[in-house]
Amino acid sequence: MATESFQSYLVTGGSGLLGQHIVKLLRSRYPYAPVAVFDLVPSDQDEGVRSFVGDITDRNALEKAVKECKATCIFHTVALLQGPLRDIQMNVNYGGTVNVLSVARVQSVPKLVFTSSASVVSDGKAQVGIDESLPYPPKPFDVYNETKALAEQDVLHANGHGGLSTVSLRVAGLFGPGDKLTVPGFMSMLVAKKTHIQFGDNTNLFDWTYIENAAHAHLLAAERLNPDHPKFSEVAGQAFFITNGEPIPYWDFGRELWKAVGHVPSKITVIPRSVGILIATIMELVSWFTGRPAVLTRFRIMIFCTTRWCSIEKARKALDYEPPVPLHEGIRKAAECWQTHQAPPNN
Amino acid sequence: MGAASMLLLLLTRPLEFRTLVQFYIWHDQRDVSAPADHKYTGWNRPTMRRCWHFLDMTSRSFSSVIKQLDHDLARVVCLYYLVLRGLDTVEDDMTLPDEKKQKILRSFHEHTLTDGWNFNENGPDEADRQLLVEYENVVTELKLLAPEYLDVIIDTTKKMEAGMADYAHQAQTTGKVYLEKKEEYDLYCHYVAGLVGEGLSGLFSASGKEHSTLAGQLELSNSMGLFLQKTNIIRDYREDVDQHRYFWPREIWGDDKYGRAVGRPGFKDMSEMYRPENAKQAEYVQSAMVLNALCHATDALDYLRLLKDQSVFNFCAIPQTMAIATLTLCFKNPAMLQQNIKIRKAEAASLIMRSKNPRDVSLIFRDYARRIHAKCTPDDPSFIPIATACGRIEKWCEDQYPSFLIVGGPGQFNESDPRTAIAHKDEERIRKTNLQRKQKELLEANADVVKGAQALRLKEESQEANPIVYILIAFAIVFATGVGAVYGLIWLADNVHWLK
Repeated sequence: MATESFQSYLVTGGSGLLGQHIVKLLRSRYPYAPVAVFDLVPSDQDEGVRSFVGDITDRNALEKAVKECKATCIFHTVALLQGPLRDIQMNVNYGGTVNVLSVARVQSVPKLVFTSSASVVSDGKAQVGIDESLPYPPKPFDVYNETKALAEQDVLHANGHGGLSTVSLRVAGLFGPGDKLTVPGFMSMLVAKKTHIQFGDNTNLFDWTYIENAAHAHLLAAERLNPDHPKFSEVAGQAFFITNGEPIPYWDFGRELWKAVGHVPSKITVIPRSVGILIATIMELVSWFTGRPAVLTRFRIMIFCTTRWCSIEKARKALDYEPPVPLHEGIRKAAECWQTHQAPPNN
Repeated sequence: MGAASMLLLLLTRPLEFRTLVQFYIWHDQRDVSAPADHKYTGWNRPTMRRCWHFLDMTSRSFSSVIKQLDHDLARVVCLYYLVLRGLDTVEDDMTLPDEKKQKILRSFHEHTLTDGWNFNENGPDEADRQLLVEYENVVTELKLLAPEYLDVIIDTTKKMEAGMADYAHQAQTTGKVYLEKKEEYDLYCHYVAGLVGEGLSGLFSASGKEHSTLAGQLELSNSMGLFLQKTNIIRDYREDVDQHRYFWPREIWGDDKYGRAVGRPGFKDMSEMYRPENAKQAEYVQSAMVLNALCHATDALDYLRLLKDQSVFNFCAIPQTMAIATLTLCFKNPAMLQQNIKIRKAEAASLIMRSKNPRDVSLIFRDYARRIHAKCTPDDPSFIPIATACGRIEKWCEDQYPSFLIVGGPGQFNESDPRTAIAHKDEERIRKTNLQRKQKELLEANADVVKGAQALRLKEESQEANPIVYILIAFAIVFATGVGAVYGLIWLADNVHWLK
């Protein structure tokens, strides 16, 4: 689309997993459009990309970057995943987004694409084929979900005010080459030689999104935030679930990853969910006494055994989103990357 | 089944015995010879009676489902089936020279309407040769059909004969024995089965039992046929290979991918697959074939949802559930490569009894999809694509019959499902809109009364304003009186001397 070449893009978290892929895709699709990155670490992936080093919680640093690169479209991908303290997550995930919104308004940036998470509507229970009509849960499942949900609501409310158009993409089960969470998580079971253990009956479907597909969705969304675009009104101010559209039983994902690096478990031991919960409870109790982190937690058992997939019909219709990379191909690429870069040397 | 084998079944598999007993008790078979039904079945005509006989001879499995169709549809579909069977018998016969075969095939739609036409040049081993020897019965009966039925039958015959003639010609003249690409396989299946589906949709629409637009659902009708045909082609692997008939596309069975997975080259010949030393590689090819067929499953479910006549539904659904059960039986089953395998009688009976509505059928599909998935192992190169295909069936069921709606339970919704909250919100919205609409209607219907009441209220309101005026006047009087009284007192005090 011709108009996309006249944009100036700024990707917050552009050195992160998703940010990098968005930058790469922007560069290949709109080679003449300026692209800049705002991140804690400098971006070195492409000489044509301007790099601003700064903290998202530092509003002035962000404003300086937006001003200098004359951004017309911001991809806000910065987020802290599960783990750190509540305050830090709140500052980065929510406070950072508030900064982005305020800077965008002051600097008259017309477009903002926000990377959200499918878990903003999660309360930890099963989610079978949900769509975007589902309200936020009264009690969020964890701090990450809570902060992302707060940020998303602010982003969507900001749409249409002061010339800013916004959209939120709720990506589910993001994985890909260089990912530091999903693929290493499954591979750690391989390293620990625990691939033969299966919690639950493995009928629970689970959604995954290959990184390039997620980046593709981001660019589609940005294109449609142009008021002249015929789908503008269907996209601006809206949230969309983004997945590979191929939900599969939970354990299948890991098994395909392991196979891709040459391991197929010869025999599978199935541990029912209830037994798993019991084991995890005991382990958590032991961990509470000893202070050593528990190998197995109830949270993980829940993840293993819960159905979580959503409908991407809305994204299909409004964003014309059709995942370009099929799941098995994505898994192969991710596994190959893990083997060359992340695998422990003796494996 | 004989009494002895039933007794054996009772002892070895009591559950299956129970299913069969229930099937024999509860499942009614239509008796096409019943005098009351003659106007529909045509049993009173010797020519039609002969046709019913041929139906029983040529197809055990289809005969009973065809007879189940209501009214004259059973007779129409029976004749349709016999025409296509006749065509198939010419195509299959390897003893016929190509020239002869081409001539017969390409003009079959004319022969089939030529009074007294029959054909007795089939080889002696051709199973259904007798049908063509006495084909004049079919011709006579076809000519009695209403034109809207006959048009569909002739139209399908024309398309099918052209396709069959092309394939037969190619096979007999070029020495090419295999179908190469998956697309070729799809096209072949389209000619021999997809077209049957399209024609059936046309007949259902023509009968008025189904909506007129069903005839135009070509893609879904085609998938119905392909799902059955591909299942049969997979199951009949050994029988076909032994008779040098090859329907599996080389793109699948010869793929290097399945060889590489066991450290060998791809198969060069389809008969390599049944050799014991090739078992693993053959298993992977078999999985890929099942996956290829499985991709039509949701189309078939879509089609079944469009139907509204119960007898048409049963007719269409029973072969489909049998097919997914057969696919499940074939999946990762090494016996399939060695001999003819079949689903058990009790399983078939249970499927026939349960294939009554699209919801139950989709749950049967889901159940078998789960069994296929449970049998699939990660070493299989098709592991994730199979999981995705099974997931697609699960998704279909969830989209059309969401599990948070409880059917036949005490409540309507599963309260622990998050979607229930949306449903409740929606219900509330609908309730409110209805209330507002009712209120509006009521106001409009009684406009005169409302107007009168409003006028009255206005009047009352204007009257209600009066007391304020009265109060003000009263206040003024009281005030004036007060002021007057004070002034009077002062005046008195000034002028009356004796007060000083």
